[in-house]
Amino acid sequence: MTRLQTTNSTLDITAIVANLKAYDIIAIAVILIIAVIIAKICTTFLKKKLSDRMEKSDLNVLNSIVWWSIILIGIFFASPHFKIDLSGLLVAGGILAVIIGFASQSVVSNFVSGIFLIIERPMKIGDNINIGDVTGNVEHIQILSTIVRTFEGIYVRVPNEKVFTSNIKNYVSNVARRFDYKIGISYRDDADRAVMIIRDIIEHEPFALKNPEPLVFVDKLGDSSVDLLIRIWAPSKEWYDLKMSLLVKIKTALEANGVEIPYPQQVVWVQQAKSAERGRGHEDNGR
Amino acid sequence: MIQFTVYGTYDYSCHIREDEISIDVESTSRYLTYRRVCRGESAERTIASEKGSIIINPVEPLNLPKKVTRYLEIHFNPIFVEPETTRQLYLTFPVEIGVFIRAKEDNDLLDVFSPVLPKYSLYGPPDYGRVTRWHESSIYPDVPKTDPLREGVLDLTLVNEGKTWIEVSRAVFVNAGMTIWYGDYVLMSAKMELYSNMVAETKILSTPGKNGMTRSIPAYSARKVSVVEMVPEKVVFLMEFGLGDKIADN
Repeated sequence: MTRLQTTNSTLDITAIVANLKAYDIIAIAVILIIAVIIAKICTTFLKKKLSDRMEKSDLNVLNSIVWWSIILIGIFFASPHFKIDLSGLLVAGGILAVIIGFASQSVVSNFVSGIFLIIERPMKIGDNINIGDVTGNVEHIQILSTIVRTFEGIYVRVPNEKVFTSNIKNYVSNVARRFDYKIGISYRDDADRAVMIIRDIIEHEPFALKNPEPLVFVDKLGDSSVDLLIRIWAPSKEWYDLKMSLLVKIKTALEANGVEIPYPQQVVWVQQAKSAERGRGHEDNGR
Repeated sequence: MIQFTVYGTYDYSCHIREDEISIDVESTSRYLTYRRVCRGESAERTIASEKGSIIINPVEPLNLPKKVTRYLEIHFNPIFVEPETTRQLYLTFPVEIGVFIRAKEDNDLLDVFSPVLPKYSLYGPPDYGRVTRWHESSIYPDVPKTDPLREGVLDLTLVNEGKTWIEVSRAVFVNAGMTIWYGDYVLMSAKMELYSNMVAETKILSTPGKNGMTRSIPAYSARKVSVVEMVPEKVVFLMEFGLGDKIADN
């Protein structure tokens, strides 16, 4: 049996073809056709199952990876029929792999992180998130990086490795979330009445959820005011709009009902005045 | 049967006044102008059409102030259902008023409004639960009197398939083409199969309304969502976070 030599990773293609017998050609063709059919079935299956769960671009990348992996496995199975001594190729391939591995460490890391992000799905396009010092809306989740548009409209590309290893705050991942207000009212005002007024305002807000029930209660007797704490649950997609609009409604309603929201204040006792008063008292006693 | 005044089909010159609602469609030289006022809020649309009709009917109450959910939750006083029995009762549900424009066999949703202030809630925990349009109802043995512009009647069949008593005080339905009928009142039918105090399955039925009732065009299909024709019975909602006030945390 003739063995083909590989020298410096260069294959003599003509020699390979010349040594192939009809049986080998048929076997190679059959194996590769089977590989193509399996790859087609797998990629079609992935398209059907994942097209509503993954970005089209990511799905295309995943499909390409699956396709070429199956084809490479097919080539691996067909390789005995090529009658190639793969040992030389393996050594050269190993050295090449080490070089490429060092050179593309971060690329591979980002790629693998991207795969895990696609599987784990801690966020999806349109979500309002915070990754490290970046806060904004997710524009794209790509295989190497995640694109975030900050609230100022700035484009930020975050490498997937950073996304994967950072704490991700997804503000809209849960269907509902809570937000709080702290409102101080004057010590002169009736706190129970203020609580009722605020409850009424919340009751008339469609997106202030009925359940979990909103809470309004006296939280603290502060230096300048009786502090009320208001806790409201809202649909995650609507909470910010509600938070922005509701506070002014509460303020307006409290003021309309004569409830004062006091400025920070401090009572100052002036010693001189007290001494003068005492002095006047002595004079009155003398008379 | 008395056809309720606001609901129905109108030509391009209509003027409707009812309670706190006014609807006007006026023709100018080139366009039609649709104007609506309800609860002090107004809407105006310009229509480029020569021949067609305006259809006003009750629609599923899941569109206002904006569409945030597909789930309707009705809360009522607790009712204890005997094991292995089927009971029918009537509840009320909120309605929104849909205005459709129709020409050349095609409907489109022109406007949705309601004199009822919507309120939303959460069924289940904040991470896995569902945001729901919330409505409080009494339980009625017969069809209750309602204001069709504000409320409809839900004909609910409760089926206790278990061998224990089950207490129910809420029902959550998913909107997959809610079949609403209107005549002298607004009607929707539903079924709730109770499996335990924590689990039930609900579905909206497309059961035809009483004689003379007209089937509403749902806002859902008029928006031309991908599912063109849905069979409500095929879409069930599994209430897995409890049937009463106590909600499972999961």
